[in-house]
Amino acid sequence: MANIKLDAIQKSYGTIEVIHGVDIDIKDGEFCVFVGPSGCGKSTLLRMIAGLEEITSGEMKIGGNRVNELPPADRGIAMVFQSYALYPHMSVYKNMAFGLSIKKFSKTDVKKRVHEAAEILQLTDLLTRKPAQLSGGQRQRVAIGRAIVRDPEVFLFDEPLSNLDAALRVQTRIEIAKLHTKLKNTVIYVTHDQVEAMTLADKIVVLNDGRVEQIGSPLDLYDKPQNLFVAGFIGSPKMNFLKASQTEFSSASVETIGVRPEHLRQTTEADLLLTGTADVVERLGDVSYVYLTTTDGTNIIIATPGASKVEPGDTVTFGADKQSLHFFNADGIRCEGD
Amino acid sequence: MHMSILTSASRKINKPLGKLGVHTILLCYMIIALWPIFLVISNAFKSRKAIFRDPMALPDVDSFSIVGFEKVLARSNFDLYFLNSFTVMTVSLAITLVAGAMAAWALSEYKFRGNTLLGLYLAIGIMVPIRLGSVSILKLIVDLDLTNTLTALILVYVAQSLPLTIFILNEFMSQIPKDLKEAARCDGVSEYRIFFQIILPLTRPAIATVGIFTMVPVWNDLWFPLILAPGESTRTVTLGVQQFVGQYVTDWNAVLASLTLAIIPIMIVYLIFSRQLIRGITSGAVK
Repeated sequence: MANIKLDAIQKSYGTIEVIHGVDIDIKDGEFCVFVGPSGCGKSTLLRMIAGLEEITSGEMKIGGNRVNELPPADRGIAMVFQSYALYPHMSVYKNMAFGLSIKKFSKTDVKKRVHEAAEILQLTDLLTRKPAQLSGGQRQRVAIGRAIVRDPEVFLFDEPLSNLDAALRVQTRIEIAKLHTKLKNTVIYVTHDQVEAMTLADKIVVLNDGRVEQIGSPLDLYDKPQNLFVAGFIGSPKMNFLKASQTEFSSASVETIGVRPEHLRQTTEADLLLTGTADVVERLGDVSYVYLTTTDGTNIIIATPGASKVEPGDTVTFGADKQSLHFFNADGIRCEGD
Repeated sequence: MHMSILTSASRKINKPLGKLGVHTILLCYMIIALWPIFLVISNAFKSRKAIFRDPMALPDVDSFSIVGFEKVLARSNFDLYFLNSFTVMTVSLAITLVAGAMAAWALSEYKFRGNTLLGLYLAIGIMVPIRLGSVSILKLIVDLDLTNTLTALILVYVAQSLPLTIFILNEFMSQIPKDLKEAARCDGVSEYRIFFQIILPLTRPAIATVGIFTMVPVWNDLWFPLILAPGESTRTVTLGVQQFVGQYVTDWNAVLASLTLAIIPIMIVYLIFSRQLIRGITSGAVK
């Protein structure tokens, strides 16, 4: 069993504190994604779990045992690096077998494991090649293979897809999801891409500036963002924010109203009604994003059907119903509107 | 648009020299560099009279003679000198490379107190020529009772070569991506194995470079053999040649013949290392 528990984990470099007391609970077999903008500390946190970075204070438990002082090799983890970190002078086979031979597995056992992993990742034909002779996607699979052969309790992925092109990224993302359903290991996956987070995760941890902003399932975060940061970070295009005082929902407690582009529609009848001038129309086929400036100067994006006739320069009246609005107080924390 | 401007500009910069110009300059340099060696080798195969009559001429039927080689091989312990030189060179090379690579790895990878200071201290070793310390080195060797031993030479040469070795390898090793070492650590590879099985293979081209830099001055050195190990049994080639150089008469046949012979081993070792060098460079380039 490999549940992971982070208890008030802190990290400082000298006097500079980069992780400010993080508590996270990850259940056995869960696919957990750390997401946040670059520099938010998500990679540092992952490296602390891996044992590559010292923990300044707090307690880390993997499978119920305290691992703060254990070296990476004794934590039952396997890590896939952003740069793949394949040994350039070894063949694909040796890359995968290297860690096993160190652990004193028998030759036949090593061979069996490597071939099994190669089978799963369709690397069987490439086993004799050197990393330099592989494409980016293949290198990525070798890196994952090197992690799989060790049969770890926990997989750690550090932005594994960011070096791949867009098409390959989608494909590899699906492969990783399939792999997880098959192997059922605990996975911690770091990314700055909220689409990856939404599609892969059982549980998302949104980090900002070394703090946890919210932990929850993808739809939790989408439907009930706890603060302005999460509201703006999750969802694409970004959620629109309006000053509550300029709408009919003005009240003492509500400072900001958030509404997602896909919940706004061209209408003259809705709980929240606004008018603006279209600046740009992006037509993606199935949907057209209209970028508007309202009369008070707020920039708004609305998602209209692909066949929408709106042209730049048009004046558009649009709105949303109350149940799709998000209300935030002066501190940027979610609250209920009146 | 920008690209075309750039390329035409760089073409203009290249033009004054051109391929022909570059090759002419390089050829001139090569002739200047190789001329003395050519003279040594060609005159080694000439009779004494022919050497003085026309030093520039190639050996022909009349002037051809291998009397120099005969003298060197018959009259002196040339094979012993060779063996001495070779032993000193290979042992000091081996110690320098192993110790230097390990020190460079420690300095580049591990953060410890005095790390930078130690690096600076070693860098000073590059700037200060070791010969300035000849007197104290001699005293030390005498105190250690190591005069007239190859060990004395090896110790001095290791000390002489280490700073540059560490400096170059340190630079090279710090360029190896951190992820590689961390991946190995996650795999449970011990620090020693990371060094020997991952870092060393990856630094091979740098090690070959350093090897050549270390080996040539050691082979050619006359100074330390002269003051530390001038005894008959520990003479190196460069010192051995000196017995043919007299105050009043120099046996040029023998001197040139022994110098010609001295080129051979270093040439072989150089070929071995330079092949590594080329292989290293291309294996990185195909990426």
